[in-house]
Amino acid sequence: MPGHNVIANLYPLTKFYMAVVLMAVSFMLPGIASKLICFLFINALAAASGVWSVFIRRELETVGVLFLILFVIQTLFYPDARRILFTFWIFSVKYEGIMFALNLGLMLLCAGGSLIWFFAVTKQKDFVLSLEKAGMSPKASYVVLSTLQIVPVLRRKSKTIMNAQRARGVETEGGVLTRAKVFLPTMIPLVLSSIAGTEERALTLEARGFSSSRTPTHLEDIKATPADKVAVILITVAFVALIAGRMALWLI
Amino acid sequence: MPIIEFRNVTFAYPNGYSAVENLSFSVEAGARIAILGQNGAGKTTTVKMMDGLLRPSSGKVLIDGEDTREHTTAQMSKIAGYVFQNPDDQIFHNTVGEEIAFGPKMLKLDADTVEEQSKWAATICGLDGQMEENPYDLPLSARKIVTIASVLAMRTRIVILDEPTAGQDYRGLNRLGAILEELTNRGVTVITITHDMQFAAEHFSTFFVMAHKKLLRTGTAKEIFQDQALLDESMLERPFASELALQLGLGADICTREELAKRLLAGGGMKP
Amino acid sequence: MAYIELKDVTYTYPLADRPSLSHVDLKIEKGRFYAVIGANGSGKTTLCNLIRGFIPEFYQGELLGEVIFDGKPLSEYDSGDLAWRIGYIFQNPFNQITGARDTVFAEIAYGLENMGLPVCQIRERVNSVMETTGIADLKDKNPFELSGGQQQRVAFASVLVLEPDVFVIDEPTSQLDPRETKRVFDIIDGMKAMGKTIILVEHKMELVARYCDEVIVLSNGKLVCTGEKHDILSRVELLDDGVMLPQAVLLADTLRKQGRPIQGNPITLSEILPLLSKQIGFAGKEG
Repeated sequence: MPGHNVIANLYPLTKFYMAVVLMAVSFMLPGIASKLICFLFINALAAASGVWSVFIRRELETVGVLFLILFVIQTLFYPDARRILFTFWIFSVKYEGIMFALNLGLMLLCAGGSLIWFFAVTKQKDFVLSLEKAGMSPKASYVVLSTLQIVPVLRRKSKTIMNAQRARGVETEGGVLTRAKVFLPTMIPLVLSSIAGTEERALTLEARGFSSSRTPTHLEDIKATPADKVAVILITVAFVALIAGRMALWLI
Repeated sequence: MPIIEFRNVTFAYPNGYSAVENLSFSVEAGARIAILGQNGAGKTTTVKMMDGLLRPSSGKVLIDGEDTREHTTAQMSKIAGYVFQNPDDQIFHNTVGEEIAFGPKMLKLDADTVEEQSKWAATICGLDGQMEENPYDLPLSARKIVTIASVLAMRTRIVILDEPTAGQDYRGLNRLGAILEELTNRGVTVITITHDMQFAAEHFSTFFVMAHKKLLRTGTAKEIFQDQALLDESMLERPFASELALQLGLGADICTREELAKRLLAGGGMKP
Repeated sequence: MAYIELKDVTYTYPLADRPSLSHVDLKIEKGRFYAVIGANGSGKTTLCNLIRGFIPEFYQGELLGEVIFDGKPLSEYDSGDLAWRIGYIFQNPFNQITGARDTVFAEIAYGLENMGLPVCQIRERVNSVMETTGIADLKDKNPFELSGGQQQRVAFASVLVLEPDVFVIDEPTSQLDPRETKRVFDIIDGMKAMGKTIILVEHKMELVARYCDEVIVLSNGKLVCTGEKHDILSRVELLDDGVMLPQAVLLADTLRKQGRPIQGNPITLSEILPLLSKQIGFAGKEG
């Protein structure tokens, strides 16, 4: 995560606003060309925020794969297609299918991409803190933060439990059926000890003054700056202009 | 033939970090061994190789003559039962009785044998009266005893205990002592990791001392507690009786309170 | 007047068929270090939860009697703010990591954030408590990736940093190795030197005998006895209540039964050593 990048350093909610606007735009844009421009813009935004390599990797791993599947299926199996581009073996490539896949796929690349960009430039804990400051309950923010932290811990724990069960004769090495039988002996201890852990963790939170009525301070505080004001105005103006342009095209 | 044999065994994780290096030792059937050493000395890695939970990166581990690399952990568990340090990693039945019966059932024994072995394990662990209880309603120290019973019920020829004394009270410690007696009477080989020097001195005759990934020395209580350099290197402290005897100048061959009392009384010098 | 006082307290957990503590009258003086001992299931943890106010604030069930703290009933305190007065540390290190923060430094600071302390003061206090608990080098680590012993020291630091007057500590070392146990007791000893009131549940009798001032003995939910540690720990009949006693006491008892009583009430090695060498006389000379 970059340290001094102007865009990355914006307040989380400003960046979130940007992402939401980009998603709205990607649903709104009419054609393949405009969506492609939008996608290129998100790429440029990611590059300008200094996270392009992370962005493009995550984008390709997730939405990219979806796009590919969509493209293959729609190209080959689009119903009621009039224009067949060419045929090989039992498959025929359909023009309407390609257009449909590109339209939908680019929209998904843009919508997904804006979220991927957002989480690439924003620490989750900063986002949660900004939500808390905007009025979300501290309990909700604790749940989000602790869940993010505890998932990898539980993964390690399930490994230990699986070992403990192997040591008493549960076969874990083998086919699907063998592994299915391991499910209960590993899941139950994991769930039960998590529940027992929840009670103790609640006491831990009490012991740290979680339910105190005082107004908390924040060690790693985040504040909106004048740059955020400028960014919000720019995003809004651009958004309104786009809507106006779209409506104008409609009317004409 | 020794029941456990380590031949020049090294264990390293895939990232190259080694946990134990060049272990060579053998254990005769029926022995009762305490493995001593600080955390990080390699104790848990060593015992995990005894039932195939880990397999050596180099060297050979033979359990009852079988190379652990050629068997799954579940297969090895028929020979060596391992009680994990944390009971909550293991317990998953609604009653103590079902939990104890699970191991023998996994061995595909007939119903009568399952019943008989579970009953035996429950009795020596003092759980007869709690077979219908939910294990999670018992305190942690009692859950540990439940997991010991669950492994004993499999009647394995080797039993491995990882920190059995943690959190045990006076009765729990006495119970553990009785369990060890019963196992030895049955000719079971017992390997125990423990930090409790008092418990080790009272119930074990053979000690393996580990430090920085190596087995420093194997020996009797007397040999270990007289070896100051060894205790320094492995950062172990003598049990009470041994330390007091040393400071009284009664010699370092005293390991238990009974021995010390006997020496004090027989020493003649004690004024009435 | 006692600093903390339990007046005829009887408490039954929800769905339990008998009380976990019954008719307990107990006085705790300010600045003293109390060890609570007894068999598992004798009510030690329940006593901790009562003194901290988790009973009845967190655990329902039936509570009779009253707990007084610093002049007024616990029930009259704002339960959310009791954290700044009474610190609480327990057995399982892992469950004492809140999960709200991703570095040791931020984890320790978390309570102070809830307290609303200015950030510069938070930093000062956290830095200083990390020094006293010996975890300064773990500052930027994720608390979930530490060993049990390190996590337990983080738990101590997280409570110590709040600077409460009372510490309730329930079996802090039962999952730790001797080296980590020693470190934890060094921390507790430091609290004692600061004049804090400490209530500690512990099974390791040698440590109880060495560090604490007073002992509280529980058995089957009843208060068996309480008093100065030498008076209590030398009562061999407590073995019948499932209470372990220090090795020095057991040795002295064996010698007494053989007609060679030791003078005084030694409970530690360093206490029994001079008595023995005086009485046996020959020590180190003939041998």
